[in-house]
Amino acid sequence: MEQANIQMTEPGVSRADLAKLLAQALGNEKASDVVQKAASKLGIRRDPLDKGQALSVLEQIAQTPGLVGITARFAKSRLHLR
Amino acid sequence: MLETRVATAMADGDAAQAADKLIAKVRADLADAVPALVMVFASTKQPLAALMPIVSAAFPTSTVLGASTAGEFIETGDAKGSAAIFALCGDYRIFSGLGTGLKASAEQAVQTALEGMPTQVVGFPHRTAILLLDPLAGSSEEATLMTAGLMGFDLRLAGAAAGDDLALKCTHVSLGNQVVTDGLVIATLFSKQPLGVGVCHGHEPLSVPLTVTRAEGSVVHEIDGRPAWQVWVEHTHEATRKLGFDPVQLPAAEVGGYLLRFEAGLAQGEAIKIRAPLFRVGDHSIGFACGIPEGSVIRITESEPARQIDSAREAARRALAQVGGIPLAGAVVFDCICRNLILKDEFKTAIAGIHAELGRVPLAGFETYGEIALDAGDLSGFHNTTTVVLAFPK
Repeated sequence: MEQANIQMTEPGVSRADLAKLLAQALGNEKASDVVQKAASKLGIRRDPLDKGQALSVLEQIAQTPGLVGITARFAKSRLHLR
Repeated sequence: MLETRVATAMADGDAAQAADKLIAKVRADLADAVPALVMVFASTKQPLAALMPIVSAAFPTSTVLGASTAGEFIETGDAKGSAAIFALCGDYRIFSGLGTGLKASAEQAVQTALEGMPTQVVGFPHRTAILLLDPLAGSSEEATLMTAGLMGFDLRLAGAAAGDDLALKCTHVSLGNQVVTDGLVIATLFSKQPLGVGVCHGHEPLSVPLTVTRAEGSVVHEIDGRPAWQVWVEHTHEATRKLGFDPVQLPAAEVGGYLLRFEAGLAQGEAIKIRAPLFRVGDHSIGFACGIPEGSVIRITESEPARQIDSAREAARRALAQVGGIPLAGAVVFDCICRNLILKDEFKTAIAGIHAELGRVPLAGFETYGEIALDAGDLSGFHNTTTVVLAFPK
Protein backbone atom coordinates (compact mmCIF):
# COMPACT_ATOMS: atom_id res chain seq x y z
CA MET A 1 0.00 0.00 0.00
CA GLU A 2 1.32 3.38 -0.91
CA GLN A 3 1.85 5.63 2.09
CA ALA A 4 0.95 9.29 1.91
CA ASN A 5 3.86 11.56 2.58
CA ILE A 6 2.40 14.04 5.00
CA GLN A 7 4.59 16.75 6.46
CA MET A 8 3.29 17.95 9.81
CA THR A 9 3.91 21.59 10.55
CA GLU A 10 3.46 22.77 14.11
CA PRO A 11 1.38 25.90 14.38
CA GLY A 12 3.20 29.00 15.58
CA VAL A 13 2.66 30.68 18.94
CA SER A 14 2.11 34.41 18.80
CA ARG A 15 3.50 36.75 21.43
CA ALA A 16 -0.08 37.61 22.31
CA ASP A 17 -0.79 33.89 22.90
CA LEU A 18 2.24 33.64 25.15
CA ALA A 19 1.16 36.71 27.10
CA LYS A 20 -2.29 35.19 27.53
CA LEU A 21 -0.71 32.19 29.22
CA LEU A 22 0.76 34.51 31.84
CA ALA A 23 -2.01 37.09 32.08
CA GLN A 24 -4.28 35.07 34.35
CA ALA A 25 -1.77 35.44 37.17
CA LEU A 26 0.09 38.61 36.18
CA GLY A 27 -2.48 40.72 34.35
CA ASN A 28 -2.46 41.68 30.65
CA GLU A 29 0.05 44.49 30.83
CA LYS A 30 2.74 42.81 32.93
CA ALA A 31 2.37 39.59 30.92
CA SER A 32 2.90 41.40 27.59
CA ASP A 33 5.84 43.29 29.02
CA VAL A 34 7.73 40.22 30.26
CA VAL A 35 7.13 38.37 26.96
CA GLN A 36 8.46 41.30 24.90
CA LYS A 37 11.52 41.72 27.13
CA ALA A 38 12.35 38.00 27.15
CA ALA A 39 11.97 37.69 23.37
CA SER A 40 14.15 40.74 22.91
CA LYS A 41 16.81 39.38 25.27
CA LEU A 42 16.88 36.14 23.26
CA GLY A 43 17.12 38.07 19.98
CA ILE A 44 13.82 36.70 18.74
CA ARG A 45 12.18 39.18 16.40
CA ARG A 46 9.62 37.07 14.57
CA ASP A 47 5.97 36.80 15.52
CA PRO A 48 4.53 34.20 15.64
CA LEU A 49 7.28 32.16 17.25
CA ASP A 50 7.77 28.47 16.62
CA LYS A 51 7.06 26.24 19.60
CA GLY A 52 10.74 25.89 20.50
CA GLN A 53 11.19 29.65 20.56
CA ALA A 54 8.03 30.05 22.61
CA LEU A 55 9.32 27.56 25.17
CA SER A 56 12.66 29.41 25.23
CA VAL A 57 10.88 32.67 25.96
CA LEU A 58 8.96 31.08 28.83
CA GLU A 59 12.18 29.47 30.09
CA GLN A 60 13.84 32.88 30.05
CA ILE A 61 10.93 34.39 32.04
CA ALA A 62 11.02 31.41 34.40
CA GLN A 63 14.45 32.58 35.61
CA THR A 64 12.77 35.62 37.21
CA PRO A 65 12.38 35.23 40.98
CA GLY A 66 8.95 35.17 42.60
CA LEU A 67 5.51 35.02 41.05
CA VAL A 68 6.64 35.94 37.51
CA GLY A 69 9.05 32.98 37.36
CA ILE A 70 6.60 30.53 38.93
CA THR A 71 3.86 31.58 36.53
CA ALA A 72 6.19 31.10 33.55
CA ARG A 73 7.19 27.63 34.74
CA PHE A 74 3.53 26.72 35.04
CA ALA A 75 2.73 28.19 31.61
CA LYS A 76 5.66 26.31 30.07
CA SER A 77 4.25 23.02 31.31
CA ARG A 78 0.87 23.92 29.83
CA LEU A 79 2.45 24.82 26.49
CA HIS A 80 4.32 21.50 26.42
CA LEU A 81 0.97 19.71 26.59
CA ARG A 82 -0.45 21.51 23.58
CA MET B 1 -21.28 2.33 45.22
CA LEU B 2 -21.71 3.93 48.63
CA GLU B 3 -24.05 6.88 48.64
CA THR B 4 -22.36 10.15 49.52
CA ARG B 5 -23.70 11.74 52.69
CA VAL B 6 -22.82 15.04 54.28
CA ALA B 7 -23.36 16.36 57.79
CA THR B 8 -22.73 19.94 58.89
CA ALA B 9 -22.92 21.80 62.18
CA MET B 10 -21.91 25.07 63.77
CA ALA B 11 -21.21 25.73 67.45
CA ASP B 12 -19.86 28.42 69.73
CA GLY B 13 -18.25 28.42 73.19
CA ASP B 14 -14.67 27.59 73.97
CA ALA B 15 -12.78 25.03 71.91
CA ALA B 16 -13.77 22.04 74.04
CA GLN B 17 -17.43 23.05 74.20
CA ALA B 18 -17.61 23.72 70.47
CA ALA B 19 -15.83 20.45 69.63
CA ASP B 20 -18.26 18.43 71.73
CA LYS B 21 -21.28 20.02 70.02
CA LEU B 22 -19.85 19.60 66.52
CA ILE B 23 -18.89 15.97 67.08
CA ALA B 24 -22.26 15.12 68.61
CA LYS B 25 -24.20 16.66 65.70
CA VAL B 26 -22.10 14.86 63.06
CA ARG B 27 -22.45 11.52 64.84
CA ALA B 28 -26.19 12.02 65.16
CA ASP B 29 -26.63 12.91 61.48
CA LEU B 30 -24.38 10.19 60.09
CA ALA B 31 -25.48 7.46 62.52
CA ASP B 32 -22.85 4.72 62.37
CA ALA B 33 -21.19 5.90 59.15
CA VAL B 34 -17.54 6.92 59.42
CA PRO B 35 -16.65 10.09 57.51
CA ALA B 36 -13.88 9.88 54.95
CA LEU B 37 -13.27 13.61 55.27
CA VAL B 38 -13.89 16.09 58.08
CA MET B 39 -13.23 19.81 57.67
CA VAL B 40 -13.36 22.26 60.56
CA PHE B 41 -13.46 26.04 60.14
CA ALA B 42 -12.91 27.86 63.41
CA SER B 43 -12.72 31.43 64.64
CA THR B 44 -9.94 32.71 66.89
CA LYS B 45 -12.29 32.00 69.84
CA GLN B 46 -11.76 28.28 69.24
CA PRO B 47 -8.02 28.06 68.47
CA LEU B 48 -7.27 25.13 66.19
CA ALA B 49 -4.49 24.05 68.56
CA ALA B 50 -7.14 23.32 71.19
CA LEU B 51 -9.97 22.24 68.87
CA MET B 52 -8.33 19.89 66.39
CA PRO B 53 -6.90 17.30 68.82
CA ILE B 54 -10.43 16.73 70.12
CA VAL B 55 -12.02 16.49 66.67
CA SER B 56 -9.20 14.30 65.31
CA ALA B 57 -9.52 11.92 68.26
CA ALA B 58 -13.26 11.62 67.62
CA PHE B 59 -12.69 10.66 63.98
CA PRO B 60 -9.42 8.70 64.11
CA THR B 61 -9.73 7.06 60.68
CA SER B 62 -10.93 10.19 58.84
CA THR B 63 -8.82 12.79 57.06
CA VAL B 64 -9.38 15.86 59.26
CA LEU B 65 -8.49 19.31 57.89
CA GLY B 66 -8.85 22.68 59.57
CA ALA B 67 -8.52 26.39 58.93
CA SER B 68 -8.84 29.46 61.10
CA THR B 69 -11.45 31.90 59.79
CA ALA B 70 -12.89 35.39 59.64
CA GLY B 71 -16.48 34.12 59.93
CA GLU B 72 -18.24 30.79 59.68
CA PHE B 73 -21.46 29.53 58.16
CA ILE B 74 -23.58 26.51 57.38
CA GLU B 75 -26.78 26.22 55.39
CA THR B 76 -28.91 27.68 58.19
CA GLY B 77 -26.92 30.87 58.74
CA ASP B 78 -23.63 32.57 59.53
CA ALA B 79 -21.79 33.59 62.69
CA LYS B 80 -18.67 35.15 64.11
CA GLY B 81 -16.70 33.59 66.95
CA SER B 82 -17.92 30.09 66.11
CA ALA B 83 -16.70 26.86 64.57
CA ALA B 84 -18.29 25.01 61.64
CA ILE B 85 -17.82 21.40 60.60
CA PHE B 86 -18.32 19.53 57.32
CA ALA B 87 -18.25 15.72 57.36
CA LEU B 88 -18.34 13.61 54.19
CA CYS B 89 -19.11 9.89 53.92
CA GLY B 90 -19.01 7.91 50.69
CA ASP B 91 -16.84 6.20 48.11
CA TYR B 92 -13.66 8.26 48.33
CA ARG B 93 -9.98 7.57 48.73
CA ILE B 94 -8.28 10.52 50.39
CA PHE B 95 -4.58 11.27 50.82
CA SER B 96 -3.22 14.30 52.61
CA GLY B 97 -0.06 16.13 53.59
CA LEU B 98 1.17 19.25 55.34
CA GLY B 99 4.03 21.60 54.50
CA THR B 100 5.59 24.49 56.38
CA GLY B 101 7.98 27.32 55.56
CA LEU B 102 5.61 28.73 52.94
CA LYS B 103 7.07 32.22 53.15
CA ALA B 104 10.62 30.99 52.58
CA SER B 105 9.72 28.60 49.75
CA ALA B 106 6.27 27.86 48.38
CA GLU B 107 7.79 25.10 46.24
CA GLN B 108 9.38 23.33 49.19
CA ALA B 109 6.21 23.61 51.29
CA VAL B 110 4.10 22.11 48.49
CA GLN B 111 6.63 19.35 47.77
CA THR B 112 6.67 18.38 51.44
CA ALA B 113 2.87 18.24 51.56
CA LEU B 114 2.72 16.11 48.40
CA GLU B 115 5.41 13.66 49.44
CA GLY B 116 4.20 10.10 48.82
CA MET B 117 0.81 11.23 47.54
CA PRO B 118 -0.44 9.01 44.67
CA THR B 119 -1.54 10.56 41.39
CA GLN B 120 -4.07 7.83 40.63
CA VAL B 121 -6.12 5.17 42.37
CA VAL B 122 -7.59 2.25 40.45
CA GLY B 123 -11.38 2.42 40.33
CA PHE B 124 -11.49 6.10 41.29
CA PRO B 125 -11.01 7.98 38.03
CA HIS B 126 -11.68 11.52 39.26
CA ARG B 127 -9.24 13.59 41.28
CA THR B 128 -9.91 16.81 43.19
CA ALA B 129 -7.52 18.47 45.62
CA ILE B 130 -8.31 20.74 48.54
CA LEU B 131 -5.63 23.29 49.46
CA LEU B 132 -5.78 25.34 52.65
CA LEU B 133 -2.98 27.82 53.35
CA ASP B 134 -1.73 30.75 55.41
CA PRO B 135 -2.12 33.88 53.24
CA LEU B 136 0.01 36.04 55.51
CA ALA B 137 3.05 34.23 54.11
CA GLY B 138 2.37 36.23 50.93
CA SER B 139 2.74 33.26 48.56
CA SER B 140 -0.83 32.16 47.92
CA GLU B 141 -0.85 32.22 44.10
CA GLU B 142 2.66 30.80 44.07
CA ALA B 143 1.60 27.84 46.24
CA THR B 144 -1.53 27.28 44.19
CA LEU B 145 0.36 27.15 40.88
CA MET B 146 3.02 24.92 42.43
CA THR B 147 0.35 22.51 43.68
CA ALA B 148 -1.34 22.32 40.30
CA GLY B 149 1.98 22.07 38.47
CA LEU B 150 3.32 19.28 40.65
CA MET B 151 0.09 17.29 40.82
CA GLY B 152 -0.62 17.26 37.09
CA PHE B 153 -2.88 19.13 34.78
CA ASP B 154 -5.99 17.00 34.98
CA LEU B 155 -6.38 18.22 38.54
CA ARG B 156 -9.38 20.13 39.78
CA LEU B 157 -8.38 22.24 42.76
CA ALA B 158 -10.41 24.10 45.40
CA GLY B 159 -9.53 25.68 48.70
CA ALA B 160 -8.94 28.83 50.65
CA ALA B 161 -6.65 31.09 52.57
CA ALA B 162 -7.26 30.97 56.31
CA GLY B 163 -8.43 34.00 58.32
CA ASP B 164 -8.00 35.37 61.83
CA ASP B 165 -11.15 37.46 62.44
CA LEU B 166 -9.61 40.40 60.55
CA ALA B 167 -6.69 40.79 62.96
CA LEU B 168 -4.38 40.09 59.98
CA LYS B 169 -1.73 38.87 62.41
CA CYS B 170 -1.57 35.08 62.33
CA THR B 171 -3.62 32.42 60.53
CA HIS B 172 -3.53 28.65 60.93
CA VAL B 173 -4.27 25.51 58.98
CA SER B 174 -4.28 21.95 60.26
CA LEU B 175 -4.11 18.29 59.34
CA GLY B 176 -5.21 15.88 62.05
CA ASN B 177 -3.93 17.38 65.27
CA GLN B 178 -0.98 19.14 63.59
CA VAL B 179 -1.68 22.88 63.54
CA VAL B 180 0.68 25.25 61.73
CA THR B 181 1.08 28.83 60.61
CA ASP B 182 3.25 29.79 57.60
CA GLY B 183 2.12 26.52 56.06
CA LEU B 184 -0.40 24.66 53.96
CA VAL B 185 -2.34 21.41 53.87
CA ILE B 186 -3.34 19.48 50.76
CA ALA B 187 -5.88 16.66 50.56
CA THR B 188 -6.43 14.74 47.34
CA LEU B 189 -9.86 13.18 46.95
CA PHE B 190 -10.17 10.31 44.48
CA SER B 191 -13.79 9.73 43.56
CA LYS B 192 -15.98 7.70 41.22
CA GLN B 193 -17.85 10.80 40.05
CA PRO B 194 -16.41 14.23 39.31
CA LEU B 195 -16.76 16.87 42.00
CA GLY B 196 -17.83 20.36 40.96
CA VAL B 197 -15.86 23.55 41.54
CA GLY B 198 -17.53 26.88 40.77
CA VAL B 199 -16.03 30.35 41.23
CA CYS B 200 -17.35 33.86 40.62
CA HIS B 201 -16.82 37.42 41.85
CA GLY B 202 -18.85 40.59 41.60
CA HIS B 203 -16.23 43.35 41.64
CA GLU B 204 -15.67 46.11 39.08
CA PRO B 205 -12.91 48.71 38.64
CA LEU B 206 -13.23 51.91 40.63
CA SER B 207 -9.97 53.58 39.59
CA VAL B 208 -8.04 54.21 36.41
CA PRO B 209 -5.17 51.78 35.63
CA LEU B 210 -2.31 52.27 38.11
CA THR B 211 1.21 50.89 37.73
CA VAL B 212 3.08 49.23 40.58
CA THR B 213 6.43 51.01 40.42
CA ARG B 214 8.14 49.59 43.50
CA ALA B 215 7.41 46.23 45.11
CA GLU B 216 9.19 43.46 46.95
CA GLY B 217 7.47 40.06 46.87
CA SER B 218 3.99 40.60 48.24
CA VAL B 219 4.61 44.14 49.56
CA VAL B 220 3.79 47.06 47.27
CA HIS B 221 5.69 50.20 48.23
CA GLU B 222 4.90 52.60 45.38
CA ILE B 223 2.20 53.02 42.77
CA ASP B 224 2.76 55.47 39.93
CA GLY B 225 5.88 56.57 41.82
CA ARG B 226 4.00 57.53 44.99
CA PRO B 227 3.42 55.76 48.33
CA ALA B 228 0.95 52.91 47.81
CA TRP B 229 -1.17 53.68 50.88
CA GLN B 230 -1.60 57.32 49.83
CA VAL B 231 -2.69 56.25 46.33
CA TRP B 232 -5.22 53.81 47.77
CA VAL B 233 -6.71 56.44 50.06
CA GLU B 234 -6.98 59.00 47.27
CA HIS B 235 -8.61 56.71 44.74
CA THR B 236 -11.15 55.39 47.24
CA HIS B 237 -11.89 58.79 48.74
CA GLU B 238 -15.28 59.27 47.09
CA ALA B 239 -16.41 55.72 47.84
CA THR B 240 -15.31 55.81 51.48
CA ARG B 241 -16.94 59.22 51.93
CA LYS B 242 -20.26 57.72 50.77
CA LEU B 243 -19.76 54.86 53.21
CA GLY B 244 -19.14 57.38 56.00
CA PHE B 245 -15.54 56.83 56.98
CA ASP B 246 -12.07 58.20 56.29
CA PRO B 247 -9.40 55.50 55.93
CA VAL B 248 -6.74 57.85 57.29
CA GLN B 249 -8.64 58.07 60.59
CA LEU B 250 -9.22 54.34 60.95
CA PRO B 251 -7.72 52.58 63.98
CA ALA B 252 -5.04 50.08 63.00
CA ALA B 253 -7.38 47.14 63.67
CA GLU B 254 -9.81 48.36 60.97
CA VAL B 255 -7.33 49.01 58.18
CA GLY B 256 -7.50 45.39 56.97
CA GLY B 257 -11.26 45.59 56.63
CA TYR B 258 -10.96 48.78 54.56
CA LEU B 259 -8.34 47.30 52.22
CA LEU B 260 -10.37 44.12 51.78
CA ARG B 261 -13.32 46.22 50.71
CA PHE B 262 -11.32 47.93 47.95
CA GLU B 263 -9.15 45.24 46.41
CA ALA B 264 -6.79 45.38 43.47
CA GLY B 265 -7.85 44.10 40.05
CA LEU B 266 -5.55 42.80 37.31
CA ALA B 267 -6.92 42.94 33.77
CA GLN B 268 -7.10 39.37 32.51
CA GLY B 269 -8.37 39.42 28.97
CA GLU B 270 -11.72 41.18 29.27
CA ALA B 271 -12.17 40.09 32.88
CA ILE B 272 -10.70 41.31 36.16
CA LYS B 273 -8.65 39.08 38.45
CA ILE B 274 -8.71 40.32 42.04
CA ARG B 275 -5.68 40.50 44.34
CA ALA B 276 -6.27 41.13 48.04
CA PRO B 277 -4.42 43.85 49.93
CA LEU B 278 -4.38 42.62 53.53
CA PHE B 279 -2.50 45.10 55.72
CA ARG B 280 -0.57 48.35 55.79
CA VAL B 281 3.19 47.98 56.10
CA GLY B 282 4.70 50.94 57.94
CA ASP B 283 3.05 54.22 56.95
CA HIS B 284 3.25 53.92 53.18
CA SER B 285 3.21 50.33 51.89
CA ILE B 286 0.58 47.62 51.49
CA GLY B 287 1.01 43.86 51.99
CA PHE B 288 -0.85 41.47 49.68
CA ALA B 289 -1.80 37.78 49.84
CA CYS B 290 0.52 36.92 46.94
CA GLY B 291 3.36 38.40 44.95
CA ILE B 292 2.64 41.63 43.07
CA PRO B 293 5.51 42.13 40.60
CA GLU B 294 6.80 45.59 39.75
CA GLY B 295 5.26 46.74 36.49
CA SER B 296 1.89 45.16 37.25
CA VAL B 297 -1.02 47.36 36.22
CA ILE B 298 -3.85 47.30 38.73
CA ARG B 299 -7.25 48.92 39.11
CA ILE B 300 -8.71 49.45 42.57
CA THR B 301 -12.11 47.75 42.63
CA GLU B 302 -15.39 47.83 44.53
CA SER B 303 -18.71 46.04 44.45
CA GLU B 304 -22.39 46.65 45.03
CA PRO B 305 -24.23 44.32 47.43
CA ALA B 306 -26.60 43.05 44.74
CA ARG B 307 -23.67 41.91 42.59
CA GLN B 308 -22.24 40.01 45.57
CA ILE B 309 -25.46 38.05 45.97
CA ASP B 310 -25.74 37.37 42.22
CA SER B 311 -22.13 36.19 41.97
CA ALA B 312 -22.56 33.81 44.92
CA ARG B 313 -25.50 32.18 43.14
CA GLU B 314 -23.50 32.03 39.91
CA ALA B 315 -20.61 30.21 41.64
CA ALA B 316 -23.11 27.62 42.89
CA ARG B 317 -24.60 27.19 39.41
CA ARG B 318 -21.12 26.70 37.92
CA ALA B 319 -20.26 24.02 40.50
CA LEU B 320 -23.54 22.25 39.82
CA ALA B 321 -22.91 22.34 36.08
CA GLN B 322 -19.55 20.62 36.59
CA VAL B 323 -21.21 17.57 38.17
CA GLY B 324 -23.53 17.30 35.18
CA GLY B 325 -26.71 18.12 37.03
CA ILE B 326 -26.51 15.09 39.35
CA PRO B 327 -28.28 15.84 42.66
CA LEU B 328 -25.83 16.88 45.34
CA ALA B 329 -25.14 15.47 48.78
CA GLY B 330 -23.57 18.70 50.04
CA ALA B 331 -20.98 21.38 49.47
CA VAL B 332 -18.09 23.29 50.99
CA VAL B 333 -18.12 27.03 50.34
CA PHE B 334 -15.11 29.33 50.57
CA ASP B 335 -16.28 32.92 50.61
CA CYS B 336 -14.14 36.05 50.72
CA ILE B 337 -14.46 38.12 53.90
CA CYS B 338 -14.90 41.21 51.73
CA ARG B 339 -18.33 39.92 50.74
CA ASN B 340 -19.39 39.87 54.38
CA LEU B 341 -17.98 43.38 54.86
CA ILE B 342 -20.02 44.62 51.89
CA LEU B 343 -23.22 42.69 52.57
CA LYS B 344 -23.28 42.99 56.37
CA ASP B 345 -26.65 41.56 57.53
CA GLU B 346 -27.51 40.61 53.96
CA PHE B 347 -24.69 38.07 53.91
CA LYS B 348 -27.26 35.50 54.99
CA THR B 349 -29.12 36.23 51.74
CA ALA B 350 -26.03 35.21 49.77
CA ILE B 351 -25.78 31.95 51.73
CA ALA B 352 -29.50 31.31 51.21
CA GLY B 353 -28.97 31.89 47.48
CA ILE B 354 -26.15 29.35 47.31
CA HIS B 355 -28.22 26.92 49.34
CA ALA B 356 -31.18 27.29 46.99
CA GLU B 357 -29.06 26.89 43.83
CA LEU B 358 -27.50 23.69 45.19
CA GLY B 359 -30.87 22.07 45.91
CA ARG B 360 -31.01 22.90 49.63
CA VAL B 361 -28.35 20.35 50.62
CA PRO B 362 -26.12 20.76 53.68
CA LEU B 363 -23.21 23.15 53.23
CA ALA B 364 -20.48 24.53 55.44
CA GLY B 365 -17.84 27.15 54.84
CA PHE B 366 -15.94 30.12 56.10
CA GLU B 367 -15.03 33.69 55.32
CA THR B 368 -11.55 33.67 53.90
CA TYR B 369 -8.62 35.91 53.04
CA GLY B 370 -8.49 34.33 49.57
CA GLU B 371 -10.07 31.53 47.60
CA ILE B 372 -8.59 28.78 45.45
CA ALA B 373 -10.24 27.35 42.35
CA LEU B 374 -8.36 25.90 39.40
CA ASP B 375 -9.73 23.63 36.72
CA ALA B 376 -7.83 21.68 34.07
CA GLY B 377 -6.54 24.27 31.59
CA ASP B 378 -6.62 27.23 33.98
CA LEU B 379 -3.42 29.23 34.38
CA SER B 380 -4.16 30.83 37.71
CA GLY B 381 -5.93 29.48 40.74
CA PHE B 382 -5.74 32.00 43.57
CA HIS B 383 -8.64 34.42 43.77
CA ASN B 384 -9.98 37.16 45.97
CA THR B 385 -13.48 38.58 46.48
CA THR B 386 -14.97 35.36 45.12
CA THR B 387 -17.26 32.62 46.25
CA VAL B 388 -15.81 29.17 45.56
CA VAL B 389 -18.21 26.23 45.79
CA LEU B 390 -16.92 22.65 46.01
CA ALA B 391 -19.90 20.41 45.29
CA PHE B 392 -20.19 16.70 46.16
CA PRO B 393 -22.67 14.67 44.09
CA LYS B 394 -24.78 11.98 45.78
